[in-house]
Amino acid sequence: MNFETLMAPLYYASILSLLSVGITLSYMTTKVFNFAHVRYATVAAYFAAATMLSLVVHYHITLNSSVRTLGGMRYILPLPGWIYAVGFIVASIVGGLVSILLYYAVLKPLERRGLSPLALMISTLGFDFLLVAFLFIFMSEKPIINLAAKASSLIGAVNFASLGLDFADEYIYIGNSMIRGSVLGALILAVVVTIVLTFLTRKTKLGVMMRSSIENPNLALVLGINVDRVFAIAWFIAGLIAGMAGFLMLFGTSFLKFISPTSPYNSIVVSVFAGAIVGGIFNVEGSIGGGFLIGLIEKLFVPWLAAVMNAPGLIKYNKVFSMFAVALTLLFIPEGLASIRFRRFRRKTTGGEI
Amino acid sequence: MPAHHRAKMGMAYTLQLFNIFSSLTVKENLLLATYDIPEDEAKKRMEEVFQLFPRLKERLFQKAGTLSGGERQMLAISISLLRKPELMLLDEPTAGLAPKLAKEVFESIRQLGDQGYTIILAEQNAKGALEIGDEAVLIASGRIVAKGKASELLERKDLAKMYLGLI
Repeated sequence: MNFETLMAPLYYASILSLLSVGITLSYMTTKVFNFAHVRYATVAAYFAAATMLSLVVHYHITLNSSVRTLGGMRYILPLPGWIYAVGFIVASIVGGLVSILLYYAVLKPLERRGLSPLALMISTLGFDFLLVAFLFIFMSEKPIINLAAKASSLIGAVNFASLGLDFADEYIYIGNSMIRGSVLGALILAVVVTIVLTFLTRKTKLGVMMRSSIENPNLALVLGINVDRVFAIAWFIAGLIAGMAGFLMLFGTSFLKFISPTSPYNSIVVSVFAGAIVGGIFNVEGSIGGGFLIGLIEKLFVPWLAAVMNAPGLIKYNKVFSMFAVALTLLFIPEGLASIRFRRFRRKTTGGEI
Repeated sequence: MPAHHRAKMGMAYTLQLFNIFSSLTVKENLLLATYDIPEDEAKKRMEEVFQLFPRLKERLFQKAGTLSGGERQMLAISISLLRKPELMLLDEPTAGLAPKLAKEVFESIRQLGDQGYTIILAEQNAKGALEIGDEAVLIASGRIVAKGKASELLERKDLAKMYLGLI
């Protein structure tokens, strides 16, 4: 197995893990499975693409695919770095705001009327339809690539459409091998998000407030904690991370390349939920790992199995393997991989001191 | 008025059950109660609480879920105390405790009363509660049966026989 074939699975797995963690965060706080969550990424991707394209048009920037160097590292970045930065920030903030909107405009009012978590879950589905309709009306019913075509026809010189909205052939060279910037970015982001979330939930005041509000909202209220606001912050963070995933999708290798209001959602929503459940719906770090695992199963294990069994048709059924993983998890470790206490096994083998 | 506003106005309520965060450490439980108080003030209050319940200091980094029943109640009361409340509501702090532990808890509540805290204590262990209380109201089947000075109620033979099970 060479380095190049690992790219797509790693990229896909990182995106899944970034989305799974949001499902877990929102479920932990409000006990609602958020069906609109994955759509945040699409909305964020559209806003980021629109922003970046308008910047490119406004400043008459031309694509430049020559190799540059930075501190000994060689890379290709076809657009100036600050455009990517702006796109990233826009995507994350849009993701967070959409999430907050769902929390305050839909969930809170309905919860006050005494609806059950199940009914709230259905309401997130309704919000999801609204988001799709919004994208259809204000962005495009066709994939983002059409936005790019429009932009390139405006400035003529740059043909985004022919690049398939690979804003980036943003390659980074490590030694002699080459890694796509999007893959490296996705991996780094997944690791950074894990570390930041771990630190946030375990070491900060906000994290302690969050954990206490999750365990016992009534007691937290009695101590003067505004539980609603704490949960809203958790939802904002979930949306923020989904927005980052949406930004990364823009640079997708083939399977995520054509972003439309419905397309990446339909193909990844199952995997995202599978990741959250397999990793641990009550554990932030677990769900990141779960998303990663599901990604690797779908894009690495299934193709390998197909090759070994000489059955190329199997690759189409990779979601079946995710669902199988979910079924096994729910049967044997219902709280997910993160709930396994490895220390307990060790104690058993050493003869059990308690 | 939302509960968290009442808490900010100086009311502290110790629930009968689930009155601590068992997945957090003792220290985190205590920190939660002081999150809106300046740090040095919070430290001072924490020292005061440790004087009252020295055992909590030994258990600072332990998960609160691993504490014994008595220690749990001490932690629950400490959480309320750290907020320096104008009014403390305690809901059956001795429920489910061994008699010896219940005695300890009553003793600490009495100390708090002596320090000038206003405490409303709802308690089924009537004798113990009357021994430490100032004013008392006896409620049976939802109706007020007797009220007055706690020491006087304790001496009334009829009440002792019918409601307090003392004779």
